[in-house]
Amino acid sequence: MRIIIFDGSFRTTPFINRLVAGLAVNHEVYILGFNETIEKRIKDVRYIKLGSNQNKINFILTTLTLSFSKRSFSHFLKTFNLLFTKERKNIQQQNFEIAVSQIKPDLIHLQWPSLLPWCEHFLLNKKYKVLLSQRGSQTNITPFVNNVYFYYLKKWYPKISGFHSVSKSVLDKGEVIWKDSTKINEVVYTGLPLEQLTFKREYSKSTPLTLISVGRPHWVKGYCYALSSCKLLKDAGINFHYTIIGGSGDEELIYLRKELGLEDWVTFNERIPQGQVFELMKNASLLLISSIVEGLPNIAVEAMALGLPVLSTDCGGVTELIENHKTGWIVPSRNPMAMTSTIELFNELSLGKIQEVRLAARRKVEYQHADKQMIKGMEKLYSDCCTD
Amino acid sequence: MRIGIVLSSPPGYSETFFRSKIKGLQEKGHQVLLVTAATKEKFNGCEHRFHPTVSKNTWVQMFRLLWVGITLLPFVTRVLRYVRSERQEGTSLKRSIEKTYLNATLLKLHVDWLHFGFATMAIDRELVAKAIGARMAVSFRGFDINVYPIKYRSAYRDVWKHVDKVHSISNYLVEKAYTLGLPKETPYQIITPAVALQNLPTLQEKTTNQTLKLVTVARLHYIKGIDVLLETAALLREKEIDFTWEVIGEGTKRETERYLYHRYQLGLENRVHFTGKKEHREVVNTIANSDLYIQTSLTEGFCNAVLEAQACGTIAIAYATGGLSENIKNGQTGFLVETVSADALSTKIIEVLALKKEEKKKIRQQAVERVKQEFTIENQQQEFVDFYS
Repeated sequence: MRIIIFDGSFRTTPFINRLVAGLAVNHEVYILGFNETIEKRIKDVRYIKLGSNQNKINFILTTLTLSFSKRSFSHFLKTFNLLFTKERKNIQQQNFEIAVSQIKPDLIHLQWPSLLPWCEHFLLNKKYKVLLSQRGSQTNITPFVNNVYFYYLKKWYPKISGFHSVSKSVLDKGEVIWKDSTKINEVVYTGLPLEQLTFKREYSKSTPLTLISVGRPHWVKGYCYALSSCKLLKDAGINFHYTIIGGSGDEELIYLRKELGLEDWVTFNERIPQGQVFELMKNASLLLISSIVEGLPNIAVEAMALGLPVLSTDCGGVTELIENHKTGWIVPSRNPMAMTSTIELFNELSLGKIQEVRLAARRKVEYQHADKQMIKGMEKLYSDCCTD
Repeated sequence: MRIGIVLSSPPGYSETFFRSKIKGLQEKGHQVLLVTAATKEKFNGCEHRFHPTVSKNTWVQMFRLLWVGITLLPFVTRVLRYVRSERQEGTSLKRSIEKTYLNATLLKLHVDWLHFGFATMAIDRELVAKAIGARMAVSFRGFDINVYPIKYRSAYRDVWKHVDKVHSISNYLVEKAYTLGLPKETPYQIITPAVALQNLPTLQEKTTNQTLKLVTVARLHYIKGIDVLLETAALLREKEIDFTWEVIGEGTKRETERYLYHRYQLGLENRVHFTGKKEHREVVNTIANSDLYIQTSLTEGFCNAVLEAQACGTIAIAYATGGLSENIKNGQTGFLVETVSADALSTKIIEVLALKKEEKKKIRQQAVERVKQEFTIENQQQEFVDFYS
């Protein structure tokens, strides 16, 4: 199969990279991006430059080369004219369309809903199959707080060949936008390199109990509720320390920590490389996910693979991953009281029970989040779209 | 007396605080001069000068530096005094020259007082007043003391060292400033915001709206407690109260999305309306036509809107945080809620709704009366005259 992966750039996210590497074994894979240079090239993948905003001369050269390949003098003249009018967006659109027409793909896989405008032309003339990945705030939040965007998606969704969602909860959000019985609509869970995430055999609860969260300080992470929960823990006399890795520098969090009298109990760390995050996770007692909304947080999958127990809110796809008391612990979101009582309960648990949960968690992620299942799932989805 | 006031931008038409202050001082024979960043609009209430601008283009900036340098020649003793004092404070020569450029307009002033309208305005300008032989005054607003030092803990270290007199809009902010290092012996004066009664809609006999109308004036920012506002609204709905709640104010894209999403999750789209920024006149009209004014802020310096609600005869309910306890006289001119929680606030709202008509009327009258007595523009103007004497 000939597949275009389009996420707007060459610097695709780690999980898209893993998908691409897996697909490239059996398929002809192209990555199109508004870049000029490639930092990490994936083996057997062809990269097509569409002109970046960074370098004017390269942008002009890329544009002219693409236009020249059309072998039409009038098109070449038109491109010159466009370059003079400096309508960058239009030029990039033209570059994208020329590149796609030359590749003649069986399918274009759009990685984010925000990329739909680039494909409007192809969606209208139905020349190529388009598969859309639904993930992140573009599917979870924006359509439900922005009517214009909601109706934009509603208008274009019926013209899309198929939908991929990173969790059942995201799929459900997509159904709110447009529902149809013939819709090709599948969940394919993100695959992680589980062989690199070694399960920690030995586990002990530290004193004080070390709680950690990982992720940028954005309201979707619900850290304000986690801090309220810490206040309740402190009042209950529980000996703990809570660290938010990547949470430093946020005014609201610093304010709340001070107001709640948690300065000795809570630390906000700078962002650190993934390897170091995993080291900290190995030494922690419990991962807290306080999020308000998520697709399916990779950090939960990673923690479960490493053997770190997870306590999460019931946000997004978490309930598809964690079964309460069996593979982790689930509490309602925006509910500090529930989070606190579950931490207290966890604190009282025997190591034997925790060990049981840790092993079940590892089995769950091996079953649901292996790289192989992701590649197989996507291949099936591609072929469903193409045979439709 | 000559007084130089430093602000970030000239006061807008509806910003009565600075406008009336300036007018009041002029009426008492003082000369007032305003210095702000370069803006398109020119303030017409007094002489208005601009700080020099900084260009990203090195050549343009070099030329400006040269030009400003020439215009500073007549003030060479002041400039030398200023640079010397900066150097004594440990500022590098390069930074001292940059600061001289940035403060050039101030260094040319002939004033008795240099008054920074916000504490943040005084940062990096702490030594100017002494260099020009003026006394330095600083005003405290909520943001200056409640929010800015959260991230920049020692931002005011040099301000505390050099300020001659502090103006604060509430006692609470002075107390809070002490915890941030303001020396207890620094003279201060509390001058609260005032209400221009002539700008308010005429007071009318209140009739309760069929659907209860609540209103809040707040930026969409965490410090304004919009999450707890939405949770309170959800509780009121649970208790089957028929209401709409208007929230006047805007926020960044991210914060707006935060609260719109919370509203969506709670299914409150038909109850809570975020109506964005409005003209002052429209704001007070909305307040006057509402049944209750609610302030959910986690903290406030004083809060003009709560004062205006009282002036309009709309019963105000707020958390007893920051300067709000000085703003509302609990049980007399409005109501304060001790704990910041949706539960406590919704309970208080229901309690107030259940008050007898006469009791509500009494609260309204006392609120209006107190504003008329204690928070008038005339009082404020006199207090500012006293401030400089």
